[in-house]
Amino acid sequence: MEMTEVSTNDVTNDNKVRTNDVKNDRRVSTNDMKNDRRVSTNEIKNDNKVIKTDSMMEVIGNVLVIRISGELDHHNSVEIRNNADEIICKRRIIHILFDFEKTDFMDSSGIGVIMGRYKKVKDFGGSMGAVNTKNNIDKILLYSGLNKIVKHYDSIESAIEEMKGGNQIG
Amino acid sequence: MDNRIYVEFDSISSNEALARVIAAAFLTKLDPTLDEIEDVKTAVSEAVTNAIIHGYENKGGTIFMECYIHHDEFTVIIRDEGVGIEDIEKAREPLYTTKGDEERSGMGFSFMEIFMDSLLVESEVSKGTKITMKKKIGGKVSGE
Repeated sequence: MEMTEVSTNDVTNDNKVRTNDVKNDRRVSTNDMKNDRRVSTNEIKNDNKVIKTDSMMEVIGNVLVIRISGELDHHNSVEIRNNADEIICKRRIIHILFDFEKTDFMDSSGIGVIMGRYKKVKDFGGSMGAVNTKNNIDKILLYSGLNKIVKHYDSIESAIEEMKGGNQIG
Repeated sequence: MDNRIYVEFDSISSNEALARVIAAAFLTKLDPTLDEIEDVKTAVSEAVTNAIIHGYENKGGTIFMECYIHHDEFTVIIRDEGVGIEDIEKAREPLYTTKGDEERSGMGFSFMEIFMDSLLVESEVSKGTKITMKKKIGGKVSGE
């Protein structure tokens, strides 16, 4: 049996490599961030309906905003993971911000998703952020130790500003 | 009033949501807080996910879930007839996973322990695994 240990300690390492071209604002989103508070069409409009998960991704500069809507469990982690990785690779994403405003549920599969994305950006000095966490998400982040990696922000706007501005995590 | 349900379902990932919703719905008789519902849903989700990924190694099978209410205590038993766990103590260690390449966090059993009052893991190699979790509903703040 193979043992895989995930260390959360390496967060404290200084963020290093940062090439000049990442500083360029490669904005691809056509939506203004502040206006883009729309809800995905797959959102649950009715509590009685079957819950569908749809993660909306948005790129702002070198920051990828992942809006987890619905439930993040083992079943739908694969899709979110694949979608995110494609964008991270193509858009040279450095920082990742999770917006939990529309997240109803997350279990340890969500921890795997966050850790996995962090591994992809940490060598480039990337940072991880979270906004709009509710009680249940806070608990998961706390008990998993992910609070050491994922910084909480008050708003998407302030998170983006700080993340784009440099390596100010921790 | 005491109550009991028993369900069995296929070992497929879309049933993770189904299982935790069933458990949560059953639990409502005890008038749980939102936090208590979330705790139970998380624990059930972890146990069912384990059965699918580890017990049946994503190859399918049948998962059995039984829920009891006795006085103010909720009990959920989740059982599979899969490969079983060789070293239960090791499996229960935080961050331990045999499926790191699939981005499993190794937090499954830890979350079951944190979010419920008690966790019992019984397993026999090539026979299967039985998870029994209990939680008193009302009055107690979870995770403390």
